[in-house]
Amino acid sequence: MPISKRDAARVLADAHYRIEDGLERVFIIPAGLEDPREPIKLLEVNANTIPTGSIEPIPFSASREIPFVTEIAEISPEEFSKLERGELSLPPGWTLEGADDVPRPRAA
Amino acid sequence: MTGDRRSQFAAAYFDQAWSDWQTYVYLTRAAGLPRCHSLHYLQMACEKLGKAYRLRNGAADVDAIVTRHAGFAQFVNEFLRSPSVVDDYAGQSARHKAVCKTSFALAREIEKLAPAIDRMHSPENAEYPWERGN
Repeated sequence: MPISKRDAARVLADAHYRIEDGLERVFIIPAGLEDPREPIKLLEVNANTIPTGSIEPIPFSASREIPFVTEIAEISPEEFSKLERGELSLPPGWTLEGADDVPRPRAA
Repeated sequence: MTGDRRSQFAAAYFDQAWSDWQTYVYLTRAAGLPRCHSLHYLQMACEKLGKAYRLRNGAADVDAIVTRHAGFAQFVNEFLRSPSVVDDYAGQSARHKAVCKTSFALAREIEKLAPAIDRMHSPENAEYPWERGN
């Protein structure tokens, strides 16, 4: 049975926590999650990233294990605070409303 | 430039990144040249390659991407967590983690070779290499 987009997004988020110690939050953006033409969208809050002042998703191709195009947008914790205060905007079509806030796996 | 502006920019950045890279290789082999010249081309090649990839995004803000020098290190960081790279390192999390850490640090150092990046903390750069008197 092929993996669902939601499960694939979870697999990817867990993998990201295992390889990046600075990762504080990973959000799976719900927009388009049920639409096969839409990519997986991950917003990642990373203490080790360089703030750029904007939220820019970068698209990546599907793979054997994650058979969905994936967009990753990485921001710093300070930028996340700005986002919460409305001083920074999510990309068009992205929303945190109903987003899956993936917890860090215990072993990661 | 004709057709879709974003795609045209992406193709142009990729072509010029390749040309910058070839120049970097040429300069590293040339005897007697100060290292700042080859490092300048390395920085430009990496910046343009990152921009070319980021311009693949159909919703990309073309003007924001083409006018900023920063973004290569973040691009490298995200690329190393992309599905295909995660697949390549399946079952090797510790190795993948080490590669990510080293690559990001290296990408950040290359990014800082541009004079506009982190000038306060890293005034030394490849284009104007006399900021610290050397």
